[in-house]
Amino acid sequence: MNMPDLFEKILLLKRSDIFSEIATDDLRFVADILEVEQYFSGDRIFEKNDKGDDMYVIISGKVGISLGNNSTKNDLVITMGKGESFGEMNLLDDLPRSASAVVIEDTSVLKLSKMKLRGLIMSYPELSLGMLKSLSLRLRRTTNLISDTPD
Amino acid sequence: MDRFRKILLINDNEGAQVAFFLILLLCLGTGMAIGRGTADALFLKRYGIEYLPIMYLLLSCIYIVFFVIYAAFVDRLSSERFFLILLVLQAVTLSAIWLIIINGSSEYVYPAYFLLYELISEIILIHATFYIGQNLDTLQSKRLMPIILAGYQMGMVVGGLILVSVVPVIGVENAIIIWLLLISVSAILLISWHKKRGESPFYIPPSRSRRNRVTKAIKEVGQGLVFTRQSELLRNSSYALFFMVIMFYVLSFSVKKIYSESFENEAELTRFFGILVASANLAALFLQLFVTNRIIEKIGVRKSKLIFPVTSLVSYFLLIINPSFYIAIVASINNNSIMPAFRNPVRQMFFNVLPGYMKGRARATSVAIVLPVAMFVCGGLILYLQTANDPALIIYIGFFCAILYFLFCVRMGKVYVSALINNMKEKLYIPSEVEPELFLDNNDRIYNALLKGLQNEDEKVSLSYAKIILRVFPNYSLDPVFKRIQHTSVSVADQMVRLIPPGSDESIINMLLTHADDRDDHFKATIYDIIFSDHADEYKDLIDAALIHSNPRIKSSGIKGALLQSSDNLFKRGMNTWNELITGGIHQQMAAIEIGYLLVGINDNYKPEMAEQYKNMYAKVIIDADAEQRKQIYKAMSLQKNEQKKSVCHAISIDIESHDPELRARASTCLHLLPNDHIREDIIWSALGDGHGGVRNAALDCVEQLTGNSIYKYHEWILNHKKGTPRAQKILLQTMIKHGINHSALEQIVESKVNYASILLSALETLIGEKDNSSAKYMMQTLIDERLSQTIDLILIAMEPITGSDVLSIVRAGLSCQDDGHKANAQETLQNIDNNQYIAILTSLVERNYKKTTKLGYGRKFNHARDVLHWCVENGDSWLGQCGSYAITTSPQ
Repeated sequence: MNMPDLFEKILLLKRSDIFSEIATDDLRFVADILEVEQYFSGDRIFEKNDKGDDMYVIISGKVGISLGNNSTKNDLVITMGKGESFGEMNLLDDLPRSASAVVIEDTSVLKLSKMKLRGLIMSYPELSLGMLKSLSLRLRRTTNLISDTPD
Repeated sequence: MDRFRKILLINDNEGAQVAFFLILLLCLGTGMAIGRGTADALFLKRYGIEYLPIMYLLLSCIYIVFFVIYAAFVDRLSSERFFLILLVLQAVTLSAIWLIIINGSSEYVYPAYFLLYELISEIILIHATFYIGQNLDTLQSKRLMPIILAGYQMGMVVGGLILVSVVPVIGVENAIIIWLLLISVSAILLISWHKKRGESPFYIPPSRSRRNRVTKAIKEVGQGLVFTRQSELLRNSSYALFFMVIMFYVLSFSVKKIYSESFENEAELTRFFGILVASANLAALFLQLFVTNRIIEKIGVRKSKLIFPVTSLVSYFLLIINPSFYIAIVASINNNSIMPAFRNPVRQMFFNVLPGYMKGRARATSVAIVLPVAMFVCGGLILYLQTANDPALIIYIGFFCAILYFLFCVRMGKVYVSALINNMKEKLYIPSEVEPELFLDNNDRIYNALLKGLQNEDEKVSLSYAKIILRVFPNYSLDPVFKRIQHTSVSVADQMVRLIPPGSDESIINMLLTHADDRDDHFKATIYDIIFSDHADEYKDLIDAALIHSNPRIKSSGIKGALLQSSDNLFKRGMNTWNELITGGIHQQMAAIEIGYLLVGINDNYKPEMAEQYKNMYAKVIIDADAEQRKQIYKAMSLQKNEQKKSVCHAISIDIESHDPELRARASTCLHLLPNDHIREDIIWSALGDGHGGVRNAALDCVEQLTGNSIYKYHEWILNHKKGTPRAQKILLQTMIKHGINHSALEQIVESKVNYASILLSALETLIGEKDNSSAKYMMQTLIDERLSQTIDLILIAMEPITGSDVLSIVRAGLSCQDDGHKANAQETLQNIDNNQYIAILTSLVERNYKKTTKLGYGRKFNHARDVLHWCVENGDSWLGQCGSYAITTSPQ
């Protein structure tokens, strides 16, 4: 992989919730196993209740997330663009997808496979520490939101 | 404009929000100044100063009722809606008061107006602060709150000027209309802002509760009392507040008395109050904008807390010496300028160290109990002392309270840091001590849980449970473990049986022998290894049989046994068999490699020749060996002392980058066998910074072997920033600390790393200022920021033994947790660590605002982003250098 690709990929990963706490030194290993995929407007990247094995980071284009099975663009609960990621939780659990991902504009994504990531974690456990830190941060924020009373 | 924004520490996207809060508080402040001047003047001139103590008594009761109601309902609605309701109520009551004054229908309207003003002034400011807090995060609050509250002061100045210029024209009572207009403008502003921006972002809707809200608020006040008893900080804070209130109102009463006697009518008095309010608030504004933050930053929260008590003492002292009109003005400046500029923001910061669940309740207690009780006592005292022969006695009482206030503030400062640390420790879940006995409690529930785990279908899970159950319940777990071994793969069976420690227990040995034929020869050899390791002399026949076995692995077990037992004849036969293995085929040689470590313990007569044979064998076997075989080879080689042949060195340098962590770790144990050159050093650094703890530890063992445990060698290594990633440096530093490196060496590291961090910060600022949007620039920015945080972490690790407490480990946890609140508290804790010359610089580095003019003369100026990139290539570690090199090729000339 050449350096511009590597930099782009590391920066995209760094912006995602789940990898934000991992140092760039370690992210280069994750960047190595990313694959680029292209989708066209109207494509569906995955469906609700699919077996989820991958996480995606958007390089360009727009992707919408819908909670329905046969959703249209009008049913989207969120629209995501460059640098945003989706499907992260499936990297850690084995539950089916809780939503569908619909391509709104022609899109390039970086795909991270769960199996490859797990292999990488076995080899570099420090990665999982960074991921745990990110998840813990997210959990803390949620906990604070629920438990904090204004004073 | 940008420059002005920078001076006020306002970020790019915060301009509109800050402007809105400023204008809102400006309107509110202007109204309050008009209220202050008119209420005081009308009360003092139309009702009389002698009734002021009664007002204090009444106010204390009103405060209790209103604050309980306020606390009960404040979180029921979003803060902006509540604010709106308060403004409407304020407007309605003020209109009524104005009408009564105009009609002259009751003289009681003046004390009523006075009480209303006092109540509004408290509630509006408290709620405005609360409301702004719900619209800013913690770090924004810390940075912007003083500036936003300055809007209120600005309003007070404007209000004072209105009193001076407009009141003589429209009359004192009609000034209330201007106040009403300002309240309307504030309400309109509030509505239109939230119509556009929606609800306050940090408002948390309360969960549904059927309990009576007032009862709940009273209960919270009671809980606050319990916390006050428990927390030393709260206790001292309550005492300080109690004496501060008495001191404040006695001073206020004394100066009002002087003013009342100095002016003949209410118009003159109002005009004077206008000048006083404007100038006192102008001074407060100046202090808040340009002095408060800087003083707090320079001397810290603890010392800043003492500013208002000291100036109050000075005011009292002057008033005792000379109770004149001008000294009264000095005392008014103290109450109206110094107090809002220093006492209020610092008290807020003191409260921030309390845990969230305690903060609100503690504040409720101080507002609903301490403040009103103090006011009541103050009112009663003045009322009583008014009848005394010596009117100056009131001032002496105030002076005495000011001394007590000062003393409790000193005490608060002392307990503040420990409260801060305890709060962070609790929030960050840093355990004090782990009690290992908790896990060793022999009870059936644990045993059954472990047994269930042992039966897990996943062999690796089962193996992990076997490790625990054999250690915790050695007497009961052999049978189940052997039963499990029947159904595992050979490899796991082999690993599981190795967990059994036979010691001198014959029954275990018999059990092992019984199961020796359960699986393949490899398993059998493992059981022989276990038995021979402690009981070689008792099983000579078995050793004899193993030496002539066809399987090389069992032969190697026999050799181990022969070397460990006491018969010379059997020993010689063992050595001969060993030689056979070394010179045999690949399987024999692999078996010989597996027992290569025995070379260390054998007789010197055999050692040199066999060592040479081994060296040749390693060089030959490693070329075609697969990963598993190379692991065995590295395991055997790790005990060698001398440099190995080229093929071995080549294999090590390749395997150190393998994706298999076990292979990397095994290769790391042989780093000392590489030629002593810079390539070896680079490989060692790479292994020390590996993403797998096993590899790092193996590399560290190897470094210890190379340096002969000389920690001062590590010291030199760490001072070189180019060598190794921060993770590698961290493991070395922690090892040095474990070995007890002296403080002067640690200080040298701290100084060197502080220097490095300051350059990184300067580099980061240069990159941020560059108008280049390439990914290379952002990557370098991210990487340098990361390196800066990692270097600060190294500094804190090195400083921990120097400061001799665990506070810095809590600070590290706070800084790395990314939670804004904890980060702010960690910075605050850091600032409060005494007696260390680097703390100030470190605090600046942590806050990312390091100035390049420090007494250490650190810092380096980069003129251009390219300078930064070149510096990274020349002075950075391998990853920083590598990224810097690439970024140079893409950066604009």
